[in-house]
Amino acid sequence: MPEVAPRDAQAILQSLQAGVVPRTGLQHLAVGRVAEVRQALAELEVLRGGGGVFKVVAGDYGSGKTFFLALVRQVALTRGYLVTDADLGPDLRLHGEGRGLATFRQLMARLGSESRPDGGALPLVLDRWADRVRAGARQRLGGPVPEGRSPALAAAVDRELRARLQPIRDQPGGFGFAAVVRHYFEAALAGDDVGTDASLRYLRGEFRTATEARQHLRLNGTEPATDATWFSHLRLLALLGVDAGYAGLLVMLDEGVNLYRIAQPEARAANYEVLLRLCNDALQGRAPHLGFYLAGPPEMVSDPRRGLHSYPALRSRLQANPFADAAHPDLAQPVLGLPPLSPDELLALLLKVKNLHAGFYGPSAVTEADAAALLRRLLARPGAERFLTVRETLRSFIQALNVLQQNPGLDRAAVLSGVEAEVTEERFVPLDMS
Amino acid sequence: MALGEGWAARRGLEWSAVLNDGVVRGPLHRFRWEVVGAAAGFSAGGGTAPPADFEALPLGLQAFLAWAIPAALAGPSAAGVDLGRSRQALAEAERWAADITGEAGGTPARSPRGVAGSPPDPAGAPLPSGRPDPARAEPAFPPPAADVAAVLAAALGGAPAGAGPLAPGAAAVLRRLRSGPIPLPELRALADAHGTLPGSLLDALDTWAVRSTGSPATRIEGNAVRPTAEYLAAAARGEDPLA
Repeated sequence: MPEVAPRDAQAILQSLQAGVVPRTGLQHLAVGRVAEVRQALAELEVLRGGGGVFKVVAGDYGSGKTFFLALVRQVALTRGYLVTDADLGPDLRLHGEGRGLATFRQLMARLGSESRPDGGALPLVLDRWADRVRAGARQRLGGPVPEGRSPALAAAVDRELRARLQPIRDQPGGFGFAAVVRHYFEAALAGDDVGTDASLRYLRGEFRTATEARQHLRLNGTEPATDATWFSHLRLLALLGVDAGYAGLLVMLDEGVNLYRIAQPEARAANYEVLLRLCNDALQGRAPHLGFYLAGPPEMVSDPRRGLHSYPALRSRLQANPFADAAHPDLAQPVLGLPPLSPDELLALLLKVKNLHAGFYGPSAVTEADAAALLRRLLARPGAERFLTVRETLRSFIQALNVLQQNPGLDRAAVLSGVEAEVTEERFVPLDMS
Repeated sequence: MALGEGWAARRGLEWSAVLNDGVVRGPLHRFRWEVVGAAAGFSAGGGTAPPADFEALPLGLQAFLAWAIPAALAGPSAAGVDLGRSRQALAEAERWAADITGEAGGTPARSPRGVAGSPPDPAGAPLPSGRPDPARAEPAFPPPAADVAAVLAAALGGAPAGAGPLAPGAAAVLRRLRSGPIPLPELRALADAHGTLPGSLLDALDTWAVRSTGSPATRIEGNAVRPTAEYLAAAARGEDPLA
């Protein structure tokens, strides 16, 4: 096992104890999912090449959906992609009463790059793009760059801006977006903080009306993002990001079960309609360099009454490949099922956690045989293949390791016999009546 | 003896553990979502499963629901099945439950309709879902066939080994950070001096920092750029290349 930096080990152990997925160091923890990770890497290359990706990650609670998304996110950031993510919930949906726009705002706030993995990368993206525009203008001039404000340089900058913004203008809603990006460029060069702030507010979807946007930007034709148009802004942002030197934009939406939970059929269908558009855009090549991952439980996909399959157009797009089965899966299809980890993978995971713990807190008396015996006991329980969640198992295991490490005199077999993996009420899917 | 106690005993389970510990919840949930959901299509979990749908289920499924779900979960509402509104079905289901569990004088010869295979109770038979009972599975731990760590190492190895040289503008910011937060106007002046914009300067510095220490070096708070706690810790460990 490669040496793990103490900060990574601490972050991983703390996150696992809290039952959440660590934000860093995931490669030290990952087990299994080799084929799925390879497929995700291939899809990242599709994005880089100008294609689109739409993927529904389906797995039971605690099966590792969030971990898988975080792993793909980490790899994507390292390989020069912009990545953003949001957890859908009662207030964050894809459409309806401003909830789609709320999701878009969250996505913009959490836009991450390699240098800003935890979000807040939008101004950096814009500045990087602006620097490229300036570099391109200098190249256009060919000879030495004139000192100070020169008409020749200004004309070159203008030509460069027009050339770079044209692909954005060609997209639906692109004129207003391009105008605001240009506004940002000019304000940034002039040191006009009010101008850059107004542009950032527009790009983050913070203006509620066109009038409000016009008042702050002093630009016409700048319709702000709405519930009905926010995903178009993501498409435009992907183009801008690629022009700034990034490989593409990856959007991760977790807790997709919250769409399935929507009680009102009309509201649910409106949200599925947005998903359909995202899916169509990605699969028909209308959203270059833009990828979507949506994670949720299997019933979110397959329930014929409330799941994605209840929406006929989505059902036809997300239909499972009839030639594929659990033994011979088709990982390229839009729905990626995450099977439970196998016993050997679970054991490998426990041993990785044990080693991380020992590396950070000091040697542990727990042996590989202890971990195997523990796992054998947990797996021998009826329903283990379904209810044994990785999250709960790890949390309980780390707690036991903590106690054993701090109390060396304790009988480790007795302590480990208390490791449980409870089924939580998360497995129920209450309807969201709001 | 409660319904299901014999079933549990034959599997070597404490009935109290079945009730309190949720050990049968896995198969129950699977049963509920995959079998019941598919068979009846009602919205389990909503607490309003219509009795008509319940009665429309194969009797074997009704029996299982009547016997196992309310027993193992908190109650009928948690199970998403309103048995109280379907007394006749409940009575019928209890009779079938007796058959299934071999308790209360049932007739073990009868096989519940609608359930895959023979009565699921006898040891060695599949669970109602048709899957093998994991209680009998002896998990083995062969080494993983392929290690995802190798795949990830190749993927993450796409980044340059080490962080490479620090650009002059980024080095200037890092040097200046040692003496305290940098007000944004000062950062802009630094960027101007290096012919770039503040965001590009921070992007270059933080990309370098992420590659060399795992964390960005700066954060913007209020109207100033400040060092991150991770960078300060790295510097304290002697990992600041400019120190």
